[in-house]
Formats: sequence, C-alpha cells, structure tokens
Amino acid sequence: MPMLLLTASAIGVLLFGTGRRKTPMFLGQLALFGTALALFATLGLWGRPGAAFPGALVLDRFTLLIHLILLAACGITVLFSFRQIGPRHPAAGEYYALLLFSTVGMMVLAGGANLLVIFLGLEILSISLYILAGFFRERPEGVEAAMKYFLLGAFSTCFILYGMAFLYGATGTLDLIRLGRSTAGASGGFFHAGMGLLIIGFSFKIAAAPFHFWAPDVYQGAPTSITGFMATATKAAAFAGLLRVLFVAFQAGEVRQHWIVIFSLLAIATMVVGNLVALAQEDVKRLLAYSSIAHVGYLLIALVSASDDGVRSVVYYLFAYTFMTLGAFGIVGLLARKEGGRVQHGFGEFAGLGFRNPLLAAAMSLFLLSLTGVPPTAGFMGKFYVFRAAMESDRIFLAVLGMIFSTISAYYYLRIIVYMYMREPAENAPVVRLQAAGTVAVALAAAATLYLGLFPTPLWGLFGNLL
Amino acid sequence: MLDFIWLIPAIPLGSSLLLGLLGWKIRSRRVVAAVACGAVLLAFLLSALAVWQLGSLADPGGHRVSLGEWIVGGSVQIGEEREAALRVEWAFLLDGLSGLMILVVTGVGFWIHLYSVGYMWEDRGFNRYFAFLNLFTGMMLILVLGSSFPVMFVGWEGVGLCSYLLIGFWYDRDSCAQAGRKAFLVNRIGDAGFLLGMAGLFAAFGTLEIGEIIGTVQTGGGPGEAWLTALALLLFLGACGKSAQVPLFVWLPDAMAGPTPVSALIHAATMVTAGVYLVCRCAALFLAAPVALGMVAAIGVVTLLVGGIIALLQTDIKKVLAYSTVSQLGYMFLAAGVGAFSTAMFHLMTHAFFKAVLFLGAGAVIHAVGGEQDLRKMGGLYRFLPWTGTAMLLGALSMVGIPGFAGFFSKDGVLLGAWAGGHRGIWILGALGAGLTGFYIFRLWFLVFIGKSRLSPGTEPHEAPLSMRAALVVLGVLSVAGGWIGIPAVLGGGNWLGRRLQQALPASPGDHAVALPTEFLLMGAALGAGLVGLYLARRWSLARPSETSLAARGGLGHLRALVASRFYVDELYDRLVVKPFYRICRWSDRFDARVVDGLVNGSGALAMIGGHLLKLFQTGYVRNYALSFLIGAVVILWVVLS
Repeated sequence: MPMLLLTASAIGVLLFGTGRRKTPMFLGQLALFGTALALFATLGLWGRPGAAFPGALVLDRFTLLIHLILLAACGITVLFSFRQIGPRHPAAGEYYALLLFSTVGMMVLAGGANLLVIFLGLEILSISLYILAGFFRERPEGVEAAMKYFLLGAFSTCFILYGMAFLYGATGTLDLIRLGRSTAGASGGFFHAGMGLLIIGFSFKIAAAPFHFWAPDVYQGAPTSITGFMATATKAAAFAGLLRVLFVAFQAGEVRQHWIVIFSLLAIATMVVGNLVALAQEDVKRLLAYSSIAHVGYLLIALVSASDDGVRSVVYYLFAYTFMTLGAFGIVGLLARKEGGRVQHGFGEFAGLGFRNPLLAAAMSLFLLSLTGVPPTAGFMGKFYVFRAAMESDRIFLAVLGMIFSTISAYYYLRIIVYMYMREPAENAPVVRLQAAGTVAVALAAAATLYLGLFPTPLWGLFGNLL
Repeated sequence: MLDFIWLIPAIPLGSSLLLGLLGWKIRSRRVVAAVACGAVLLAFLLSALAVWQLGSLADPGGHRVSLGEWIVGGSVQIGEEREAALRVEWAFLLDGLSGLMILVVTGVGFWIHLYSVGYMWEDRGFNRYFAFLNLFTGMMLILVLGSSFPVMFVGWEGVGLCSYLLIGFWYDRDSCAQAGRKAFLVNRIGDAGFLLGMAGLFAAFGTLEIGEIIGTVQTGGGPGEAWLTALALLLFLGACGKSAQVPLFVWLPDAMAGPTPVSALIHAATMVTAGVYLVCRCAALFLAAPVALGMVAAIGVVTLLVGGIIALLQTDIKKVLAYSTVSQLGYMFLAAGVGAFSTAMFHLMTHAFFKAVLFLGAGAVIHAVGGEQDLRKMGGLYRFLPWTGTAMLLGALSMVGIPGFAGFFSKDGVLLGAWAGGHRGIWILGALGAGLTGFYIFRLWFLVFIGKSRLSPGTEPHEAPLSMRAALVVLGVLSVAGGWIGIPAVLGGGNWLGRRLQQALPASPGDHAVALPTEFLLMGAALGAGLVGLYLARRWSLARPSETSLAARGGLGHLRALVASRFYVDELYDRLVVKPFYRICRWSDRFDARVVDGLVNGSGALAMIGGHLLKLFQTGYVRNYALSFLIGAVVILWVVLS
C-alpha cells in the first residue's frame, strides 16, 4: 500500500513535470505529499503483520521500521532538494520521480521474501540512482560519478545474479525461508559459492572495504542532496536486505560461522579505511563520504554479533545514522559555493559559520558530535547498543577496535567544528540564507538526532525479536 | 501553608532565573529591583506564615514535605547483616531550627536586597547582581530547609557558588577574581569533608535522611563511638570551611573584595553561619561523640581569639569587620562545643542583625567618602552621616554586649553555657574575647565618626539614599530589640526562642541553672571586659588616630608587627601548601606535555600517515577499483569454500 502510493505520486510528478510547465517547487511539494501519505500508510500498517503477494513481500515489523527510515530519508531529501534543483530546472519532474522510484525500490528490497524480489528492488533503486548521480549533466564530476557508479554497479550485479543462480542450482528454490530450511543439509560447494557471491554483491552496495572504492568518487560527484540520500537510504535498504538474507536463509550452524568470519574481516577493513582516509581529506563532502564508510564498519560489528540484540542495534543505528548523516550532508549542500565551474565543499566554507549563522552551526555541531558518538546524541546511543551487542556475543576485540576508531574519528569531525567556531570567515564569505524547506529539513534531522539520543528506550523497546 | 514550604526557596530561585535569563531585556532598573526585592519579601512573608502555623502543630518534630524521589540507588550492604538502598527525596523539613534560619535569611536578606538597590544603582552589572543575590537566597533556603544531607548539600554548594560569583562580581579587577578563587578553593577543602562525611553516614546508617540518623543515634543505635567521632569531625571540617574557622578562615577577609551588601548578607549574616547550623542540626551526633564536640569548642575558642586579635590592628574598615565575623563565628562554635546549641543559634541570629547593620553602615561610609576604605583617612564623619553613625553605634553596642542590646543576651548565654558546662577555662578565654571585641569595634567607630576629619581634600561626604537608610534603621533597631525573644529567665524574660528551639535541639548541659549570684557575677565580668576594651579604644584611637594605636616599642613592636600582618597565616599557607602544590602541577604538566602528549600525538601522526598511504589507493581509475573488488571477492570465496 505505501509503495503503491509512492509509485503513484512518482508517476504523478512525472506527468505534471512533462505535461504543463509546472514549477519545480510544486513538483517537490507533490513528491513530499506522496512521501507523507506513504509514511502515514506505513504507520497504519503497524501491528498488523502481513504479506503482500504471498511469498514475495513480507510486511513484518522489521520491514515497516526500515520503511519508516526510508520514507523519512526520502522526505528530508526532498526538502533539501528544493534548493539544489533551483527554481527553474527543466528536468525537476524527472528528478523527483526518480527519487521516489528509487525509494520504492528500496522498500521492495527491504521487504523482499524471495531472492528474485530482492534483486528486483536492488535494480529499481540502483538504476534510478545511476541517473540521479549524474543528474547535473553540465558538471563533469557528476557525469564521472554516474559512469563509475554504473560500471562498478553492473559489475556487482553480476556477482549477485551469479550467486542467486548458484543457490537456485544447489537448492532448487529462491524463497528465503525454504533456502533456510535446506541450508542444514546443503554443504555443497555451489551453495557456499552462491552465498559468497551474494555477500560480495551486498558488500558493494553498502560500500564495505575493499568494495568501497566507488563510494567517495560517486558521493563527491553526485548532487549533495542525492549523496545524502545514497549514503543513508541506500545503506539502510541494503542492510535490511542483507540482514534478512543472512538471518533467514543463512542462519544455520556452519554457514553462519562463514559469514561471521567474512563480515568480521570486512568490518575491520572498513573501519580502518573509512576512518584513516577520512583523516587525510580536505573536502568536507568527501570527508563525509569516508565517514559513511566508517559507519558501515560499526554496523557490520553489530551484524556479526549475530544475535537478536545485534539486529536491534543495527536497526537503531540505522535510525540514528540516517538522521545525522542526512543533516550533515544537507548542510554541506546548503553551504556549497560555485567557484570556477566546480562546486566547492572545502573546510573554508565552514570557517566562522558559528558567527555567520549560529543556529546552522549549532545544528551542524550536533550532527558532527552525533557522528562522533558524543552523548546525548543519537550517535552515542547507537554506538552504545552496537558495542554492547558485540560484547555480549563475545566479540570484544571488534568492540574495542570500534571504540578506538570512534576516537580517531573525533579528529576529523571536530576539525569541522573548529573551523566553524575558531576560524575567521573568508573576506568574501557569502551570507548564508536558508529557505524554509532547508530549515525544516535541518530542524527535523536535528530533532530526531536529539530525541534518539535523549530518549532511546521507547524505540529500542519496539525492536525486540525482529527477525 | 506548611505543605507549600518548597515555595519559599522556589520563589527567589524563580526570580533569579527570570532576572538571569531575561534580565537583559528589562530596561528599567526599577522593575529589576522590584522583582528581586519582591521575591525575597514574599519568601519572608511565607516563612513567617509557615513558622506561625508551625507553632500550632502538635508534632514537635517539625513538618516534612517531600516533592518526590530524586536519587534512587541500588542496595548496599551495611554492616554485617543489614542491607539498605540509597533513596533520597526532594524533601524539606520545617522545624524550630530551620524556621529560625529561614526567618533570618529572608528577613535580613530582604533589607539587604533593599539596601543593595541604592548601593548598586550606578553599577552596570545591576541585573546580574540581583540575579546572583536571589540565587543565593534560594540556595541558602534550600540549605536550611533540606531534610536530608544531599538536599542540604545542593544548597551548600549553591551558596558556595554564589559566594564565588559575588566575591568576583567585579571580575575585571584582578584582586576580586583572585579572592573569589581563593574562597572557592578553601571552601572545597571543607566540602570534601562534608562529602566524605555524607558517604560515611550512609555507610554507617544506610540512610541520608537527617531525622532518621539523629533518631538512630539518640536511641543508642548506629556504629561505635570511634566511627561517630570520625563522621562528626568530617562534617565539622565542612563546617569549618564554610564558617571560616581556624585553620580555614583565610578566605573570609579576602572575600571583602565583593560589593559590601554581599559581605553583609553572605559573609556575615547568613552563608558563613551555615557551618554553625550544620553542627546544630547534627547536635545529637556530636553529643554522641564527645571528642568531636570538644574539638568544636577548642576550634571555636582558638578562632574567636585569633580573629579578635587580628581585628585589633586592621586598617581597612571591611577587614576589621571580616575578622570580627570570624571571631563571632568562633563564639557560636564555642557555644555548640559546650553543648549549648540553642544559644549558638541565638547568637547566630543576633549576630546576623548587628553584623549586617555594621557592614551596611560600613558600606554607607565607603559610599559617602568615595570608595575610601582606610580607617586612617576617615574621622569626624558623624556630622555628615548621623543616620549611619547612629545605626552603627547601635550595632557596635550590641556586639560588645551592653545590657539590653541583643548581643548582650546571646553572648552572655554563650559564656554562661561554657561556665555551666564546667568549662571554666573556656569561659575566661571567652570573656577575654569580649574585651577584644570592645576594643576593635569601638576603635573602628571612633576612627570613622569621631575626631578630626582626615579625609583627602575635596571629598564631600553625603548621607546614603533612602533605600539604604531604611535598611540601616530597621536592622539597627533589630540589633537592639532582636535579643528580647531570648531573654533568660533570670533576667525576667521568658526565653521564648530557647523554648522553641528546645523541640528541635537536644537538651544541653548548658541549661543547668547556675546559682543566681554567680550568674550575675559572670555577666558583670564579661561586661566589664567589654567596657575596658571600649575605654582603651577610645583613649588610643582618639589620641593617635592616624597611627594604628598600641605603642610600638621593643618586644611589643615585634608583637604588633606580627598581629598587623595577621600572624603570617596567608604566607604560611602559601609556603606550605600553595607553592609545593604548584610545583607538583608543573611536574605533571611537564610529564603531560612530553610523555603523554608525545604518545598521543605520535599515535595521531601514525594514523594520519596511514590515512595518506591508504588514500593513494583511491586512484580514480575504475580499473583499479574493479581489481580491488576482485581481490576482495577472491578472499571471500576462499573463506567460504575452504
């Protein structure tokens, strides 16, 4: 139902965009309206577990929670897009429609009960995003981003398809639950190879090292609002799909040990790469791209706890991560400045922001502190739950490593805060003017970040026994 | 009303919040003044109402109001077999003892607020001043009303903070900022004692509710005497810090750097008496630990003499009063130490009156002569400041203990308590202190108001504005009449106060009747000592006003130098504590800068190098990315298939 609503509004946006010369503003509002409707529909489904197209889509609490994240991310992205798209962009209709389509794809992915449905969702979202990444055709870095994303994306799709084919060959089914039942007996090489290939494909989508190389380039080249969307919603959806596959299809003894080992290694590699390279960045947008890689590392720690608490903390972390990352990327987008044909997101844009626009700087500080994991923000509680789940599953080494890297991350996050409050603004620094939409988006993200940090228990309580 | 006693501290706190947060929006100083004074006046009226209703209450234990839980902790093993859970409520207790305190705090506090309106009118920090002053009043009320140690501690720390803020009120003056810091740090030493005492009390009794602890002690329960002594001494250390007793008295004279009304309210009438209040509140605890009680008396006597002697030769008008406060606080501890707790509270109250009027008078004098504080540069001011001069005279007479004045009854009570408790030596030293009092306070009065004017030419003294004068008059009257509620039976009084406090305080040995002739004799002796002091002050200060009296010859000269430089206590502390401490700080600083920072920066640099190295892999070529992808894939497949 929510997905249908969203699809309908996407088509509506598309029709309005082509038919008569509607302003981008109107189209954005329409998209927002559709998202809000879908959000309410999702809330309406709460407590009534069910399935649409039996055997294809599960609408359990897990799916609905992920849908909430996705729709919230979509809504906030639309709000941030108002400025990005500008008042008379000719292709605004396509932009919003693609955004909504990719959200639908993500929702399908999150709810998929069948490998084929999961693949379908993955492709809907990917293809929409390939286009969105290069949406500003006149910018060379945008085209480069789209091209790289597409090439490597296609590459990874091959792996996923191959994996599915192997699994089908080994077990004769694509249904996750049946796969899970046959796991116990299946010890053949095809089954294992299929799982490995599937994991590789998902690792690409969530940008875990060493499959992450596309992320910084694509994140930097794409329009900033889309970058925020990719960094949050895509990851949430991919994690949802991954969790479901792992915990439903590959939950049995030996297989489980395999993926635990693999993801432990990936988690370490991802945290190392994400955090260390972020230290060396001079561009805030790129820095945040690496930061989002680092956060995947923390999420993987929760994943390898392979317990109910692990799943809970992944979902909680996704909530926290979505709001703080969207907010941070959104503000970067608001501050971006064109110079010599290229859009600049350097540290210089942040110099003296604390005096030029104190409220915006305060919000940015909140997001950055949350990303660092400082109480009382969402990021702190997220990390707390993640590390606790890891400790309880005796993954103490990973938890300690995660904490060490969180400490390192403080350096690059706080560096932005230092620029905001302790550097004089540049002589020609433009006055930062916010539109209503941007302000609302920042406020929403900030409120959620604070709320999740201050009152974690109600939400945490909802998450028991999700999978 | 009794169920709403929480309003009494809440009103000044609310007003403080209002002034502190929105004060800058209020343009009119009249509004600020009205809000600040009004809040305290309201609190006073409510206090009066509550105390009046308390009188008709059947339960002598007072009235306790709980606003809900505050700290709830897990259970802890207490002793061998008992378990207890930490449970602290936001609870206030009104009984005779706290009733007296809230009346003094809000009553004297109101007049000092009013006085401040005139005193601070020109200051640019007018709003901030009143926000702090209201905050102080609220915190002090929490302190005295708190029904458990933690709640009391909130107020205890709150008034300490306000004291710091107000001493350093003129923060752009280095000396003020320094004095504020000193006060805060010295108080921390005492606070540490209080905190440890609190922890110990919980460990010993399993509760922090004062009433329950007292009850256990009175029924002979609780831990052994050694344990009780240690706890009582820890609490007393806290009291020493807050009430400026030897050896922690050094901060109080420096605290005079703050505005004069602050000195009157915080550093004379109310906050510094919190220590006395604490000891009286825990009277049963101290009675059960005779060693600790003796310690209280000893410290009190030493302090009253040290303070009194140093006050003899000070030349700064406020410093004289500061040391006098130290000395008078010594009297209160003396009284508590000999077990005459209700007398200690009585002296606390009369002292609040007469010391407030003396300080406010000093403020008016300083105001009048354009900021001059040196006694040697005053003189003959009575002509110009008749109101101030008279009010201060009343305060001084009261302090010396002239019969009929408030101070007479309370000081006499203190000394009588010492005698009746069998402490003859303490009585002699206390009477000697009375002589010192007579000398230093009248030396001050004569130097300021009588004799030839020694003002620097060009100053034209003028009487204080109305709001200041009103406060002086009222407090002057109180320092005469305020004692009449505690007139002992022997002089035909009903000792109304003593009876009221009897319910809240344990009976003390000082209440034993002393034979009538002895009692009159003792009174006469103490009075005589005071009068001798007064007479000597008159002779010396009028004869050689510009000198600091007392002949300077031979051995006496050395002695004089010693006294004038305050026994070098500050220098001693500086040499023994502050300097070595700084040395340790420097060492650890060096350790931190070289070893710790070296390690930290080293690992940071390492991470940075790692980051730059890894960055090299991000070539920007898709073919390289795909290669890494492939390597990763191979590794994963290897793990899965092996």
